[in-house]
Amino acid sequence: MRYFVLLAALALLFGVTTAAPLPADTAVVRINRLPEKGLLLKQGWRYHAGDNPQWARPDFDASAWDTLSPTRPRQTLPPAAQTGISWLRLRFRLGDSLRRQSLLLFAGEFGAAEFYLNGRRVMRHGKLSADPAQVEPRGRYPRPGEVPAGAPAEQVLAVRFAPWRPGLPNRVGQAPQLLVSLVSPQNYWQTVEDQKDQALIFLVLLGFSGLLAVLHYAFYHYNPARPANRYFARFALAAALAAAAGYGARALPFATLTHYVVVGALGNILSVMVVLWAVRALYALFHVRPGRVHAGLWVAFAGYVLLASLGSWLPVAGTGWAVMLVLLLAEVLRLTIRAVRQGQRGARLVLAGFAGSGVLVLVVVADLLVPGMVSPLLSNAVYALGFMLPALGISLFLAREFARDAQQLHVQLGEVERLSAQTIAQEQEKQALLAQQNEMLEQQVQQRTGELQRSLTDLRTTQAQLIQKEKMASLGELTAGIAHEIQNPLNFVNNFAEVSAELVAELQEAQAAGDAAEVAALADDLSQNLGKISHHGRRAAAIVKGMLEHSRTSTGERTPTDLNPLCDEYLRLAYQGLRAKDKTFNATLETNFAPALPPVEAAGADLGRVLLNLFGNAFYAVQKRQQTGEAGYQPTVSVSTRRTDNAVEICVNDNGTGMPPEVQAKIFQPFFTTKPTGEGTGLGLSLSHDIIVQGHGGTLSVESQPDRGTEFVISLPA
Amino acid sequence: MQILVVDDEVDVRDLFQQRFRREIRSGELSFNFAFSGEEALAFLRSRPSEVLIILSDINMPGMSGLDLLSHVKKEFAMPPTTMMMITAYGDNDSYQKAMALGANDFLTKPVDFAVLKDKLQHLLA
Repeated sequence: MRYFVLLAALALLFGVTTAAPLPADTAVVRINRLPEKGLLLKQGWRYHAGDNPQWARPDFDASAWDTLSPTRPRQTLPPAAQTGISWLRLRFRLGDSLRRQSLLLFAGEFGAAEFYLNGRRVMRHGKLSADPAQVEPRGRYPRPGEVPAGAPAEQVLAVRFAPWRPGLPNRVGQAPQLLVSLVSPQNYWQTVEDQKDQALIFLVLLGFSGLLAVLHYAFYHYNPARPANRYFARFALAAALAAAAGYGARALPFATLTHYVVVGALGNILSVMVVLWAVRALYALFHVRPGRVHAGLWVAFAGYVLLASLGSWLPVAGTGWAVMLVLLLAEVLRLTIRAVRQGQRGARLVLAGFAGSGVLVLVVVADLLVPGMVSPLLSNAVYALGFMLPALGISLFLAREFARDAQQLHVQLGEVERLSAQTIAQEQEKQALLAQQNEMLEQQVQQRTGELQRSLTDLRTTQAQLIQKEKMASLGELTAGIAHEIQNPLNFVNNFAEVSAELVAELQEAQAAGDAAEVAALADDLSQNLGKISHHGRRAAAIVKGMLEHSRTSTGERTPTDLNPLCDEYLRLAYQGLRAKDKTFNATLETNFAPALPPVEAAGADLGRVLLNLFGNAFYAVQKRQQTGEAGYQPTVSVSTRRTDNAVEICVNDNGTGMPPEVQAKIFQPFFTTKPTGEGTGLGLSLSHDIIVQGHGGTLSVESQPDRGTEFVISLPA
Repeated sequence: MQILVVDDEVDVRDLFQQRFRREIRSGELSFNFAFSGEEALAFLRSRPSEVLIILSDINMPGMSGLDLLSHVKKEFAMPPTTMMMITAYGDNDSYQKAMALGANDFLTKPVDFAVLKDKLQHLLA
């Protein structure tokens, strides 16, 4: 933007044509017609340094004053005119047609001025001061002064003028001192309106850029993963601010030049910043690490900011501005071309945007080189477009990116849906499989449970059978003993019966012979024999009864039982049983029964079974020891009963092989046996233990020493 | 003729005394009784050569009839003692064992006294 061409602008504000040349010595400038764009009052001016309000008066005679052409550059004027307050006066005469209409007076200068028409102040520019440094120079769009219709034929324009001199080196001296023009109001306002209208494009740019900034900030805010958006947002914001400054500089009135210059400089700086942020955005967009070039650009920018803020109105600032733009655009071009070569997506679009902008910059540069070549409207359009095109390119690019992203997302969504459907299907499949397996497991468990139940039943049956077998085995052992035991009483029963028959015969003979003594003796014998027959008969009966009791399933019914005969009976039965199997075996049987032992509540058959088992084991143990051929060994099995405080004890002793502790620990376990396979069921002592402990509430204990013997003690509560 | 009856059943004495009361009365037979193998052996040792016939039960507590038999055959070879075994077990095994040990005869319980008498008569003749 060419605020720096302010000088030219001032001079050529309306492209005013100069008034027709008049003779230099003519006291009054005659103006018969006005060109369409106004008339520049170049000649006929008289000049005087100093300050006096009287000089404004129309009747003041300034003929003594020097003549001066104020349109000439300041530096060519007398030194007095270049500093401090001085007055200029011009006498002019309007043509009749011009006098009938109202005209406008306007002026341009680097300084402050007051304009008096016919002694009356019609226009004021800035604030005058004798010190050029204190002068507040004219701003932008000052009110024009009115030259009313029906004014006198000859009029006097007096200008109180103070040149302004900025502190820094400048080219103010090359500018015209003062340009005063007359123009028709229609033309004037039309031109101003046109100028303001032409600036409207900057408002469009402002809106466009502002929207873009908001949009990109939003993009960045919602997706910080793309930092390019942040830089584009800054780019757009800078563009918006630059556009605002551009519009302001073109269309807003400014009271003083300083404000106008500040706004202009700001606009220039912002315009450079726009491209700088665009460069930064492209770095991010094309994934280029900002390096020295980037840093260098910022340094250059800092330099330019300094230059622009110090001397914005200087041509050098304009050159700096152009140089910056060219540099930045070159960087843009470099980045974009590189990206295009690398085949980065959308790089071409961005390139196209910046290329368009580049072309426009060329137009601007051309305009700079040859002022006035480009119309203000076109110039403004070029500026605006120069910024809009890259933004447009980037926006299009982003739009494409978004579209692509959306498309990709859509595809990915489809994929995700497909995958999740697949996963759900798999999940369902798994669940179905699990359910199936669960069902199968349950079936298996039920099956196994059934099997276990059957096994348990089988086991119980087997156990019952085993117990029965154990019973039958002990019965078998008994049978042989019983046979012997029954034969003995039977022997007596038979023989005493037979001999008694003989005795009866003899008794009858003696009776017939009258031998009374013999009859009495025979009768005594008979009586004795009958007693014996009866005794042995009962004995046999008792044995049979015992056998039956033994084989019968015990009812467990307990009756008062005398333990001594029970022990004696079963000791014999056991002994005879073993002897029945092995005739060579014999052992010393010892009994030591406590006299007057109280009866004990016991199930005789069960207790008998226990005793038979204990005696059987005792005989087995002594037999085993005997079979080792130990010299002087006398197998002995003894049974004794005794009364304790609250119990009756039966001790079964043997001097057999004895048992080591590890065997002792197991003897009451079911199925534990030291006998060869097939000889013992391993249930004898286990059942015995159960009978004593559970059946009778007693105890069955064992003490044993290997090669010394074993003692079992049954303790029954008395 | 001296006969020693060995049996753990005490009633055997009454039975024999009644069964052979005529022979005892006539002095034809003389009976002594022992109620265990040990007792029998002691009797024999105290009165050697008097006893000619021993009737012994096999199944007895302590020394069995067969033990007694082997002792007698070893200790009292002369004069030869007749040993008759009487047992409740009439099985062949017992019989073979007794015969192998030198028993002269083998009877089973219940004892048929008619047969016993015949055998004794036969021995006396």
